[in-house]
Amino acid sequence: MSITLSQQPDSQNLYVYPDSSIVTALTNYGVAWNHNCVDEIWYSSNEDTDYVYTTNISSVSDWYGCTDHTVETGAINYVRVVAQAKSAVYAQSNNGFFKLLFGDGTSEASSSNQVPLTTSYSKYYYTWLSRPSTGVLTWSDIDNLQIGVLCSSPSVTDNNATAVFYPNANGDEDEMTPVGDTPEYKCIDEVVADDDTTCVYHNNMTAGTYYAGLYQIPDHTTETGTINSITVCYRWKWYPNGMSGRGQIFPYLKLGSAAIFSTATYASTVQEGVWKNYSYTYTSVPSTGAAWTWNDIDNLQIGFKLKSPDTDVGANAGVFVTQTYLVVNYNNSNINPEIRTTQCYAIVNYTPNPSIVTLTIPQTYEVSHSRNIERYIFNDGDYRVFDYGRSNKTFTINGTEDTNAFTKMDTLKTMTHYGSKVSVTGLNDNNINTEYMIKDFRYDMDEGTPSVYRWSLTLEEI
Amino acid sequence: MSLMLTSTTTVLTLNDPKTVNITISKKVETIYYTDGTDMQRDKGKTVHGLTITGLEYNDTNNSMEYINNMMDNQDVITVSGLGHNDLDTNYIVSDFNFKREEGEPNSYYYTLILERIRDE
Repeated sequence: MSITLSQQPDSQNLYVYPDSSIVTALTNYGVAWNHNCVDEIWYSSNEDTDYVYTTNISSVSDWYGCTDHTVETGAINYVRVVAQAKSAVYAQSNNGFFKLLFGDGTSEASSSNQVPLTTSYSKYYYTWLSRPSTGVLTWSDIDNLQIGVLCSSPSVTDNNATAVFYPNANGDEDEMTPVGDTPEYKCIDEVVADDDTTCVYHNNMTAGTYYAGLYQIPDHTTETGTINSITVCYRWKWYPNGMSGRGQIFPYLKLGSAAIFSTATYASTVQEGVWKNYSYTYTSVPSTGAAWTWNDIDNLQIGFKLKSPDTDVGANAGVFVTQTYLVVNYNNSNINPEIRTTQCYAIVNYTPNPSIVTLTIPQTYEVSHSRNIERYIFNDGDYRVFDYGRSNKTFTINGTEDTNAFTKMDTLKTMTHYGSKVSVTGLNDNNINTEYMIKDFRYDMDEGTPSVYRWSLTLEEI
Repeated sequence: MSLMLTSTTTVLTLNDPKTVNITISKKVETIYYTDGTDMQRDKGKTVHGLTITGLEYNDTNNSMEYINNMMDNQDVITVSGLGHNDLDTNYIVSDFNFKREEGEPNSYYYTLILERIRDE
């Protein structure tokens, strides 16, 4: 007579990670070897710390070798390749590619196209139910597994791109006095304004008279696309030196030999010694109404005219400028964002083989059934007793095994590990020949009888 | 002599129990005053239980299953046959334990713990 316990474990996941680089068409960032950039454990991506990327217009691929399986057995249900990826700064073009790659060592397959990648990291995955060359997946295939990504980054357009140009030489007109540096343009060319440290000024101003400063800017380089507008930016102040007069700054440009100036474009006039920012935007060339071109930018000088409209200005009152630059707003259609992959792994989903163990009929078995009963006492001495449901319905079996005992104990250990329900049969009470979850399993052996195991199994009826 | 457990759907007769134990616990609190004295207050029963142990050897599998079902159904059980009117009253089952040992394949040692409920 015997008792049999059987279990069909639920499906399990085995995670396999890249451990070698087979094809490396993408560029690594952060650490050496591409597979090291994408091998983080599934719940712990390091995102931009290390990754592989491409800006190629046409598709390129990375392939990685993976860790082998160890003790897993059973039928493989599917292999899912997962990659965490994004398109840096700009979303990926709809015409681009991002595919997950799967190979078993002899054949390869790619996923459907996952484009467009967004600017935030997301996980993309694709599931294969069979080998790339068709046929049931085997554990040998898993040991030969290769995974990877295929991606491309066709150009995308930014309709609000900017290019900034700072003075790089003195221009055609100069009625300014430099402070803090020479040549003069260096006093106003800083990216981060340094205010009084380096600047230019004009003082001892005659009421109503304009004083000009013009500066060269570098030619554009790789920028292309339609220019929407240009904006000249200044950081300036009026130093009244105790007088009541006012100071003004006017945008002043020169396109080739043609000056671009309007008396209507001045900034608010009273600055009283405080540095402030001012900018003025031209959506077209004022003299023609035509859109700005990159050739115009290459022929442009930027600057300003200073003026005091008032007579009550002393010799030491003046207008100071510490920063001047040009911002070109344009449609940049030449952007190839980095397509970054920071994590790549595979999930092997499998159903372990059923476990069956037949044991000698137990020495004792015991059912313990408890309910959660509570007694409530009211202030008047009355009471009620409530049943809040089952606390446990535990089935405890104790036995001794002397035939293939270690193997049987090992099988029970595996059943406990998987945690799936266990069917009990063979007892002479069919009411308790039913299904349980394993709560506790223990076994021991005594000195002198190493092949004899005493065991105890605690089950909860389901 | 025998012990009878009756619910709305089941009448179960068991052998005369080996032991019957009555447990009454009360919640007694000690209140301490700032002058150093203290006072005890009885705040009522926390348990009024009946524990029955026995050995069942007639139709044992079904008998144990009937009690399990009474528990699962949250049945109120009327106990009779104990010979004391004070004990032969209404309960609900809070705990039930039964055990079979090698060599006694048709017998169960059982322990049944009942909580006395208010007479309606």
